[in-house]
Amino acid sequence: MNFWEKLGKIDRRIIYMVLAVAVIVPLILTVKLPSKVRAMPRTKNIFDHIENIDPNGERKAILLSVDFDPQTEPELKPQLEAIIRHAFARNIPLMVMAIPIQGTDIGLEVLTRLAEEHNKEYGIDYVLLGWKPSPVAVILGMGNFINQVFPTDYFGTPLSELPVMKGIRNYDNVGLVMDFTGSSYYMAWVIYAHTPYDVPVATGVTSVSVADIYPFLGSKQFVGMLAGMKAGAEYERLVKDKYYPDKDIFLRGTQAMPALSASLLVIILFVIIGNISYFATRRKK
Amino acid sequence: MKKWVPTIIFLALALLSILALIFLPAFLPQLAKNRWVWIAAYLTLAIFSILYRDNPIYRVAEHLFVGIALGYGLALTWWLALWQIALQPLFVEGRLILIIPIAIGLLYFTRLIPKASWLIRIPISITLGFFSGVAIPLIFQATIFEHTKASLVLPQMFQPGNPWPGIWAIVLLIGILTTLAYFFFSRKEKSVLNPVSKVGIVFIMLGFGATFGLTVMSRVSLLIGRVQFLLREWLGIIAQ
Repeated sequence: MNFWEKLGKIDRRIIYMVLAVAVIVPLILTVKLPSKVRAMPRTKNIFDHIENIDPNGERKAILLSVDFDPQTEPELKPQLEAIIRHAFARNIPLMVMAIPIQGTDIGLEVLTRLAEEHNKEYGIDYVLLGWKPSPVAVILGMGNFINQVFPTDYFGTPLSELPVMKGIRNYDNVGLVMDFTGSSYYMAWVIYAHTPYDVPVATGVTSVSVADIYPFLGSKQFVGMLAGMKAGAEYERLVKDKYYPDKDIFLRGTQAMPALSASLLVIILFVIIGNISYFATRRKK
Repeated sequence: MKKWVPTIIFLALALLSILALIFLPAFLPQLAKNRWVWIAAYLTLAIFSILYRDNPIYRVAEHLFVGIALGYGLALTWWLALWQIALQPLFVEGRLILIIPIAIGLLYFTRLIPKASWLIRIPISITLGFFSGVAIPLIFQATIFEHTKASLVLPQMFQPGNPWPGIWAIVLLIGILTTLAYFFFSRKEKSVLNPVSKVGIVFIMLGFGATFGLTVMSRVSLLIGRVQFLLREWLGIIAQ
């Protein structure tokens, strides 16, 4: 076996080891990113849309649908945290719900932690609506009356007793619906919320789904899209630069970016090595 | 590797972790004190062990995951759906009207009784009828009509000084038409569609390439998430 053949048959465990080093070293060394990060237009569009929701004008809430489970948390949690921080910073009422049942606990954990960090109070600044079965019926029903679909919040308190829900009846009082999903729940929000009720909808998705969503961005059915961990980091930086420039807050996505860049470089390198080996050995054959 | 080696490694790790719990805090004060974080860390490492080869430690973690996920989903479904939506309103609040949907829902279980299994058609037909009625017009509107509209090339896309939106719209239109031509199978051997469909293949390959790259990025992000957990929440050696 010559050098080129050996190159094409590197043990996969060696590749895993190199990848592990590429992930761990930048995290431990806390590699600093440039002070200004250029956000993609699809990310910036969501930021600008939330900036245009006037907390002192007509009362409009942001509805977040936490439609992911722990398997896709690393990609979607930074996005969710960044959007919640943005809403808190702008004092926009926040409603959080879930279509898959596991989303409620993730939403509760993130909300509780960030509310404490930003001195926000449950029932006054935000509410956890919880989960109800049948996504189609839930999404369509909220277009008529939110409190008919969710008569009580996650903890059993009637929505009518919560100050955060004052003046918020249906999608007319929602400035943005933001769906975070590792599957295709974004389709349900476009089809059953945006199409019949014309409520602005945006989505945060894992990188795998990005290609499927571009047609909806092209047709302007989505305000914008947060694509994977990278977009989470972009949004974190947009929010931090504008609202918390001097506050020391943990930015999960931003911290991961050097590791993501290093590991992708390693993968690109192995793809190139594999191709060189393939063409070199094919010529020989 | 002998079959008992992973078991020995697992026991050694368990022993090491007990020792670490006793002695390490003196050297690493930021080490996790929550025992659940330790369990999560061990299970993460156990799942990663599949990267070396299949082993009993991995299988223990895998079975635990499946069992816990099922039990967790079941408990939440019982509490948030069956109890809060059906049983509590019916038995505690006395909303007798709920007997009707509950009874219709229970008909799904007639599948288990051969003589009464035809009754399952009732809930299925109600569900299908409702969702078809609601979904078909909205899906057509949201996907076919809107996306067709978005693929039109309009004169206002060619603004003086910035022709790019128009150029991209033309590229998009070519991509749509040539890709559709590729999937037009009932064409003759020397049809004019053949060279057109070859252009379609280029667009399809570009799409596959983009999807593959994004999939790699997605998987790496998941790995980074777990490594972040191990280094931050468990070992406390990166920024809190």
